[in-house]
Amino acid sequence: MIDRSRLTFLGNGLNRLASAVVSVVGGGGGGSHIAQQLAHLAVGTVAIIDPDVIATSNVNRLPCCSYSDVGRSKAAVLAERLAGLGGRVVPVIDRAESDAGRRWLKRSDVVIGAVDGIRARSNLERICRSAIVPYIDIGLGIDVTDDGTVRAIGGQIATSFVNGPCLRCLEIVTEAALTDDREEYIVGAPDQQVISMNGVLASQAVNHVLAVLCQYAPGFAVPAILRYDGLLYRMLPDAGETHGTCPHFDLESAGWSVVLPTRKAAP
Amino acid sequence: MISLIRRLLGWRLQPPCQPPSGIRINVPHSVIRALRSATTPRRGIREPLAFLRTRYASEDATDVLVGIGVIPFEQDAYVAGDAGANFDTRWAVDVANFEIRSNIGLLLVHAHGGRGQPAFSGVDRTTNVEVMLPLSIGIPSAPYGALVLSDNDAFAVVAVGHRLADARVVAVADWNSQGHKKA
Repeated sequence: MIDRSRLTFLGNGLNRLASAVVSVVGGGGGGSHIAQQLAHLAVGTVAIIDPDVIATSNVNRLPCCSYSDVGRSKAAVLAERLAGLGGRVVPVIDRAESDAGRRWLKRSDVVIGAVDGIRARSNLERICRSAIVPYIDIGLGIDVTDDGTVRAIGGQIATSFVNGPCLRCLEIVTEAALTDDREEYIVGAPDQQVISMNGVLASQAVNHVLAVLCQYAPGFAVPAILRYDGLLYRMLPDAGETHGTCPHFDLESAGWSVVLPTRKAAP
Repeated sequence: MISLIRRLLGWRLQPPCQPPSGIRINVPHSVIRALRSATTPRRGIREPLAFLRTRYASEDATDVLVGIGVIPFEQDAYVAGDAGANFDTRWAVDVANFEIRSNIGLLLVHAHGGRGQPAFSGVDRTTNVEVMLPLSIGIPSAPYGALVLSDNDAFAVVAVGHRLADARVVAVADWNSQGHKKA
């Protein structure tokens, strides 16, 4: 039995949390942390959308997983391990852009993207914006030299809300990045141990979810972007953040937007 | 071998991975606020009406609607009558004909006040069936129906085939409702 009264700081937001649907896209290093925390918060339904299976190189950064899970679906293993915490954890073993994936995204109260590719991020945001679903994106990048020296640890948590800036406005999605899209977030050493850094970003992304669904800190706006610097030990919003109207996604164009030709007047 | 059997069993025993069913209408907080403003009683209009401009979320997601804007009823659209609000249906049809050019359907909106989930009255249901349902005939690309507001909740019906189905209204956080100021 979940003792929800222990979460008193969330107040009435607990009811919202219990009926909420949150989709986590990507059951890897970031998504597994996020799914774990959402399950412990007893969010009503957590959908983990990921078509991939666990590889040996993933195990060192996937909470809840062990080497005996190699070869099994990431989403299925996470759903299995996170069952019984008060909410429903559903594996969706498919791509987010698939029919099943899109169906989940459009029926979610919040979507969190923890994927590696820029194109995948762009697609997720497009689906969410079209259905007016808040989208939160996390990304981590580490640059390691051939001899193992860390040159940079950087990441961000970006939010994409209706009427607010999008990933293009925040220059996360750019034409150059789309052209140069690659799904390797650890340049030079794919097996690096990054579970703690992923955890930092994932925890803050879950705080964003709580702020959006429960408004536990009214008056303190969820920033459009929080930038993480793992070498300077800090995570900060952009200074003096202000954003005008997003030119890429306007509310008027949301949904199945087809402009029909004007009818000719009857003769 | 045991591992293989376990994996196969695990695949066969996967729970159905369907999201919650039912019709859902995602409406940004800013649009909800505009709806409340447009349907607040004022001098001369006891029960103001508005249209919520809506679209299907996508061609293949007609059970998810998005609320994208509000059209308050013009003064000339109200007519004398016995119901709380009586309106000129020809004006409503003209608005519907204009909006469908952008694939936008309409939900007729009014407010009942009070707290908790509101319900349509008998007169409301008659209006919904006699006015809003016929607007959907022959228009499969845009949603039509009605929505009633309370002070803290909402409820809607949407045309599905030849009937009106219940729909859940979800107030969605938007940039401004998160405390951001415009640049």
